Amino acid sequence: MCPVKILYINNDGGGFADTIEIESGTTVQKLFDDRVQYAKPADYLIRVNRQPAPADQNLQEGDRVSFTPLKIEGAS
Amino acid sequence: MKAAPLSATLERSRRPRSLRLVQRIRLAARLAEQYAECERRTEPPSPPEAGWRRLSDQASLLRRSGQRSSRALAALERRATDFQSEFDSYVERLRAFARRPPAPTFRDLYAELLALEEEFGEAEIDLQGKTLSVVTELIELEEVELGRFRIVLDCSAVERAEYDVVALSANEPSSSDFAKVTHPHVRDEGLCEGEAHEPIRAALKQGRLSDFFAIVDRTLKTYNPGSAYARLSEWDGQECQDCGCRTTDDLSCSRCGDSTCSDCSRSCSGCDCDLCAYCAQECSGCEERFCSDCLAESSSSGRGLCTSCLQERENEREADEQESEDQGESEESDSQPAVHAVRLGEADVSA
Repeated sequence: MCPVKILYINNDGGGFADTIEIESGTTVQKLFDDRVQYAKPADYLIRVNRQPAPADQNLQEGDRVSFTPLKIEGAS
Repeated sequence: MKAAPLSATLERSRRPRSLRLVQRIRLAARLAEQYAECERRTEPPSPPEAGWRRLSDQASLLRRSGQRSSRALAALERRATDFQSEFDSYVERLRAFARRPPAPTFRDLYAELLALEEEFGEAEIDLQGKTLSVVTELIELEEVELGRFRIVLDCSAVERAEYDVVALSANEPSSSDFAKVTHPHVRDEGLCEGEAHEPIRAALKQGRLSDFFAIVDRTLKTYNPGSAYARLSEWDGQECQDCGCRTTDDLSCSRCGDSTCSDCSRSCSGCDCDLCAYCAQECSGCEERFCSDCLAESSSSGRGLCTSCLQERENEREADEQESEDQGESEESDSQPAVHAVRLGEADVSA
């Protein structure tokens, strides 16, 4: 399995965005499980190349994956 | 990142000659220029020269003075340790700088605008006003309808992350204490970002416009009662703790602080403070309502009495006592004969 590079964006916390290497054939679900701990995919807006994506979608070289929490607490 | 070639994008732009398309292209081009300029201005982090100088000076000082004392060596070691952590931090910043995503291109930004329209239905581009805006869905939090909001991003300098959140049909809290509050986390058209602060800046710094709008939208759809300009429970007035109705009367019990409506609120007949039903106590004398400060416990009955009733009771008691004293005295005098028997016949008799 050769690694592929994707742009991974996590809009939780500090707003992480970086190019990372993953194994080819990695699905959206697997990436979520690996990268986002203590959370459920249902609580996130998950997009691949700016489009909503199914959990079993295989990620390809150059994909842009973003996880945006559905709940973000504002303040006063 | 997979994207159509620029020529294909431009080709598509030639087909439907709609204003929206032209605006989208123009805005994407302007933003791309802005980001490219930002990128040109961005410099790599500077090495910790000051720390190095301090370390060198300390080492020279040690050499010149010829000191080999443990104290001088310890000072040099401290400088070296400080420099080491400064240098480690510099290496980290340098790595982050090298890893940073490239400035977004025209193509990226155009794709962002398209994604924005897909998510929000419509994105309004005002090229003259240099703004990009979207309208949220109708937002309702905990059964309070707050309406729709327009998120307006200032595109004149995107990296500054300046934007407004404008309520389209403002449903402000009923209390005048919350002027210009249109959402638990929006006041004077400014969103207090809380958890969204860093992701918003990161998204705009990297040209992720759709992420920026999505983050603001999700923040507007989330309620954090622990830190809100106005709590949703107080939005349509407060709940009267006596009868349970919603009230905007802004009355609260001066004793326990519970909110009350004007029908349930009562004034203390002594000091005129506002009271709820629980804290308003009845004077056992006049049956008027008083606060606990204005009621005193009667020493005889143990029941609450207001000052005037207490005074009245006091006067009555004194009068009773006086009366019984007087009665006692008169009884005493009644039991004594008017003329003492032994002195019988000895009384002065006027001539």
